Amino acid sequence: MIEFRIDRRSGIATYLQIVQQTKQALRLGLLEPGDKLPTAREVVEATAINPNTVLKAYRELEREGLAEGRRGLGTFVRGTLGGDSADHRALRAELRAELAAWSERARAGGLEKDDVTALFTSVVDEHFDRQDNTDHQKQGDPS
Amino acid sequence: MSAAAIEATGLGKRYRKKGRWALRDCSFRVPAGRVCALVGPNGAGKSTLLAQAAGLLPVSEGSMRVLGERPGDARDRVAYVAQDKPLYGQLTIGETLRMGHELNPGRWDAETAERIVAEGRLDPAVRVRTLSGGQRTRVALALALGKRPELMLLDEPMADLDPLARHQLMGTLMAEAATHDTTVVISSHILTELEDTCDFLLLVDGGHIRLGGETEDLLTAHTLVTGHVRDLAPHTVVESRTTGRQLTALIRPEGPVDDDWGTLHPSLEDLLLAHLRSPDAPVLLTPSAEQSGRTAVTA
Amino acid sequence: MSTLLEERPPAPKTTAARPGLRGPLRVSVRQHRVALLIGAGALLAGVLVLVALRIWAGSVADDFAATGCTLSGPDRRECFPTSRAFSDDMLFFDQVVTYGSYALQFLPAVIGAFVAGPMVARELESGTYKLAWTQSVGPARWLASKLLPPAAAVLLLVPVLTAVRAWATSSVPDSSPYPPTPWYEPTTFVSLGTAPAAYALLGIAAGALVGLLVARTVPAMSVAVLALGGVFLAMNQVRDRLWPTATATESLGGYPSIGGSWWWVDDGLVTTDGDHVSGMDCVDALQEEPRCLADLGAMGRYVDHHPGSHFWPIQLVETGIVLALTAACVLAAFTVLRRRHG
Repeated sequence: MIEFRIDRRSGIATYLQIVQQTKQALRLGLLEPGDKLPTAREVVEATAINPNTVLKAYRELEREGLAEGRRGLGTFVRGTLGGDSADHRALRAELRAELAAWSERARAGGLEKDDVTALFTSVVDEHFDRQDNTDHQKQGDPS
Repeated sequence: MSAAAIEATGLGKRYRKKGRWALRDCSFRVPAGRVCALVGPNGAGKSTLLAQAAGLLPVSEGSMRVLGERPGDARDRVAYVAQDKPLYGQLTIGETLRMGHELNPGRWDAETAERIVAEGRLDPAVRVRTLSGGQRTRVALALALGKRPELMLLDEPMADLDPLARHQLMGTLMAEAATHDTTVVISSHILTELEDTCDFLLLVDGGHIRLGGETEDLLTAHTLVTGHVRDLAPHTVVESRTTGRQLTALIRPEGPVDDDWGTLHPSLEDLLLAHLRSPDAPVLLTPSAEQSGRTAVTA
Repeated sequence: MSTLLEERPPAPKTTAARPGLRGPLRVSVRQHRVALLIGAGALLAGVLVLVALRIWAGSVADDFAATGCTLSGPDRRECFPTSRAFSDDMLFFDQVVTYGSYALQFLPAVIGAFVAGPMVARELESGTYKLAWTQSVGPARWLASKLLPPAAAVLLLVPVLTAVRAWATSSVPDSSPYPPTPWYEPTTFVSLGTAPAAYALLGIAAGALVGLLVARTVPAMSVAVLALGGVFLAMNQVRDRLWPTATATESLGGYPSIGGSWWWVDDGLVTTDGDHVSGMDCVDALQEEPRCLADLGAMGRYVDHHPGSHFWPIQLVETGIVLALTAACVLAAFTVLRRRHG
């Protein structure tokens, strides 16, 4: 089972933090289809956030097809995130090695960590649409 | 529209005839099932409002309905924890919980109450008078939650708790609220304490309700704008500041905001501070906080 | 949070018990158990002490009678030490009974102070009323649970104490040089019959009312004591008017003779018209002027008084008044309570 960590100073809406952490856990294989997500009661007991926030996050996961609520039982992981086919696993390992070499080169060349991160982010932003990030702008949204 | 946990119409309270009004002209509604933050500076009238809802104070003018009844009549479905956490010092914790059982026949949930006490590693044989402030709060909350209320009224409940106990008790409170569909109204003069917890907000200031509604609706109703100094019409201006040629303002947009304004989404704290600094800003109640049958609310 | 249905455990088994008085009573007794135990213990001790002393006094009197000595008899030298010891013992017994009746007289004030201060006002002062009044049972049952335990203790124990006290004095040996205080003396009257229990109940009711009105522990206790003292004094003033007096008359030459222990209320002269007039106008230098008496047309003398047989009627009227006051205080207390919480 997954445990959520809420960062109050991140500026990211609390429900989005739950969504992102669930997705992250799916990517890393910490959660697999059929796993039960903690109940709203369990989440709020541990994090002291509003129960509706948890429900909102779970609704969002359901909307994205990643989870499903089963009446009387709880919410379960359903979908998968692009990373668990054999092809994807191989590609990830390959890219990781390339990235490691790339990072080492940057470090040896005297670049600061921040420069490298900025560089990486800007290239990624150029190649992927920014759809995923728009919601984050809603700063201060408590839910 | 869902049922109302608290509904007030023109509610007013003064403690002495011809005395100062502690509350005046308060019309609002807290829908059932919300976790409502009752915020405002010290002396704003938060405690008065809560004590009235708990059926402890007669209403001087206007009316109030709690869970659809006169405040005192809903007593068995409402739990109230006063700011000073009153408890009988001569009783032990165990006796205090037994009192909860005896004074709330047919409702008492001994298991929940005992669990909350046990989570604080409190010995039921200890006398209440020897407890620290935080431990008292825990026992008072156990007593309130053991009643299985439909509405919890908590007056500055977390004031004497250390951060760990505060987090733990807030978690317990939210978990109980989630499980039993409890409406919770928590007052505080520190908003950050409640920012993650509440989904509804009432701002009380000088005995008046200044803001009321779902936090999300309140936030989307406001925009922070910066730009060259000029008239902000037709938008409603809550607060504006001019620095040289630059104008910074918190507005309630009436229609689209011009493109050349820089806009930002305000945080809940931005919203509250701006309203507290500008006592003349018009009152805003979102539809869910508006008392049915009374549309306009005077500032 | 209505969407949480799937996670909700089964609804609590509510037996929908109507909130009764049993719970609040238990809580109230538990809160004040020490005081209630001490109070009841003191009353019980009073009963036991009086019974023991009365038995002891009886045997002392019997022993004295067996010696053949009397206090008023011809002075026999060998009787002196025995008479003196007997006299001392009887004085001791009389004092204990007297203090006992004082205690009975102060009991209502003590109870009143306790109910007003520690029981009621302290809750308002310390804020615990906010806890008590917001429980399901509500403020009215809270107040009832403050009144009933002391009332039960009073109704159980005070009549016993009063009866034992009456028995102890009514059976003072005839040979005692210290006859019991007459029934009509204020301190005696309120420690006999039904009055002590009635006053004790008034103490509870007035204490509750004062406690609610004053709302601070120590001042409430003082006010309760003063209020009950005031009622005592007022009743002392009017007691002889609570029942019509009896009148005894006699010719001018003598003074009416009345049997038994009677209570003087008024006396004066009876005129030829049958009117009762004060004879004081004719008293000059402690002597009655015969001519003055003749001018008045005085034919005889009268004494308005309460014979011993008026004890019970007066007791019952006074008890009724005190109980009516008690009821008024209870009613007022509940009204004040309603005003306070709205």
